[in-house]
Amino acid sequence: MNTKSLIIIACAIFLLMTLIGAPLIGSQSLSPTEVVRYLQGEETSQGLIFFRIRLPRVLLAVLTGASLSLAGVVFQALLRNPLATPYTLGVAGGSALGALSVIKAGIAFSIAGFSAVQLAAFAGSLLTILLVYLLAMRLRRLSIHTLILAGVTLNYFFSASILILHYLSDFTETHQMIRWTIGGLDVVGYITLAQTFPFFFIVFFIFWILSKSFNVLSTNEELALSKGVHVTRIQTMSLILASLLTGTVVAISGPIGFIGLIIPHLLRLLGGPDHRYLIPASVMLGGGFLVLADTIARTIIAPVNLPVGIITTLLGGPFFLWLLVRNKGPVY
Amino acid sequence: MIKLRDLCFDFPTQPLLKKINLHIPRHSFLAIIGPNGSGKSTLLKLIMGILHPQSGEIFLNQKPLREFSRKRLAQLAGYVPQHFETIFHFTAWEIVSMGRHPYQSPFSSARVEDAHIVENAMKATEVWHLRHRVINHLSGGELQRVVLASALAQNPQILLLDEPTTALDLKHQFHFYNILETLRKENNLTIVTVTHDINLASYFCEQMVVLKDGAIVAEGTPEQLITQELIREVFEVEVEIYQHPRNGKPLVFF
Repeated sequence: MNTKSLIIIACAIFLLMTLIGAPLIGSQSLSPTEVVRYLQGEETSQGLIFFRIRLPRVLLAVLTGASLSLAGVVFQALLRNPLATPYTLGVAGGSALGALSVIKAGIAFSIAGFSAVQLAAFAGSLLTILLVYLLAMRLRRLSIHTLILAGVTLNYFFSASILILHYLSDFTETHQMIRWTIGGLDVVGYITLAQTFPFFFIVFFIFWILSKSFNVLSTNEELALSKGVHVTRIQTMSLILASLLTGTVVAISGPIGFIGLIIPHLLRLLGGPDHRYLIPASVMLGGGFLVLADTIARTIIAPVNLPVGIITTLLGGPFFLWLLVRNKGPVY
Repeated sequence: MIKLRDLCFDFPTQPLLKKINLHIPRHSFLAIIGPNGSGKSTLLKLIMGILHPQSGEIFLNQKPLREFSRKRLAQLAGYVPQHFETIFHFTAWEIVSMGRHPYQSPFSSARVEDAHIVENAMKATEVWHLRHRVINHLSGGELQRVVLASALAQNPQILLLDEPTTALDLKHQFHFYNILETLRKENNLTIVTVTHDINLASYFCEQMVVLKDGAIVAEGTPEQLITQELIREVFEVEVEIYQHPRNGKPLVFF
């Protein structure tokens, strides 16, 4: 068995362990036997905590971590840029502007299990994606560099708009805004999960089918054309799908940072840049990693729940730096 | 094999190729030479379907290029770009395997047959021993041969090369062209190469085309083409022409 298969299996085991283990850990530890008894039909309080409170949160962490890592892999391959993240083209900035506007306006309602802030965040990301789409449609003439530059400019524009909102807000509003911007996995119901997981699986499946084309595309555009890859078609479609997936999870969990950048790099360091391995591995590792980070965020100064967005970077940053330094020879 | 009819290509700001007519027979070894900006690379990219002409037509095996699907075109012609750099650390084996892309469907796993073709291509260009190496760590000569192997793995009838040896030292230039010549004979390839090295082209290629300002100013064998007058007209340099002592091909000296 080769290294890549071993890493994929290791990632799967890691994801499974976090999935089962994380809901048992928290301000109140749960015993597995109590949880099993709940499954057998007995109304134990521990079972209730497990299935009603902690499991949805863990599943949301898996969805968010997996989606951001998947989008990160695809953005880095298509933009052929190791610094690309799911937020490079401005999706998170657009979401933030939408969410923060609603917080500032003090609007509160909910439709189909989604709050006003979540809906506004999604609307903001959709607007950004529309802009990106209009740019991507011109890719025949625009270079990838132009697209990245446009994304960076969009991000600056959104940051400035957000600063205006902050400036005009009182302390309570600013506090809420900052909490949203850090990103966190607040309690969501199974309905939200049921509405978003299918979309994730569809995007994952499409990207997995395209993984051989991503390999060629991530080397050189002209070479990819000469190998029979439909460059423009695949680029446009994939950029939009990855942006939509990013917009969806950012609307629910806020712009959780760093995962979309390091998980793909970590796996490239371990097993190389082949997307047939990279795509499934980063989905599982990203999902598991966010569950782990969230468990730490929930427990490290319990009963306070730290926002997970802080933990991913605090935990992942030094680890990744250590990997970069330890790795012999240049990485990029 | 390759036929260009009234081919025109403009960049948004300026015209480049003007009504190119050219016939490249099967089994040719053709060199395209000319000053910088004369449209040589563009011509190759048009034949490879990387760029699209504003007017005119390209025929491959009597069939118009626009009727080819991307995959079908990639099965017919291989391309070696001028610069090949990647940020991601693919191994030489992975790069050459990409040459099988036009024959694979998304769901098929790698076939034994593909592995054989990749191995043969790497052996033909003498990079088999580098198969596990990361391409970012290869020398210029090794990398060019890996990219050539990747094009060969497409099982093409046509090879298009854009200044394949510009970055290589003397030994590797000669070596690279020797490999091309062997491939042409053994695999019955039609080879079109863009080059700035007139002597190298003269030594190896049977036919030459001279481009200037987006138009063909001369075509023929090296013996017919390489004259003091032509070099003066096209490159604006005064040169001396000698004969190669081994094969009588013309050589250009300052």
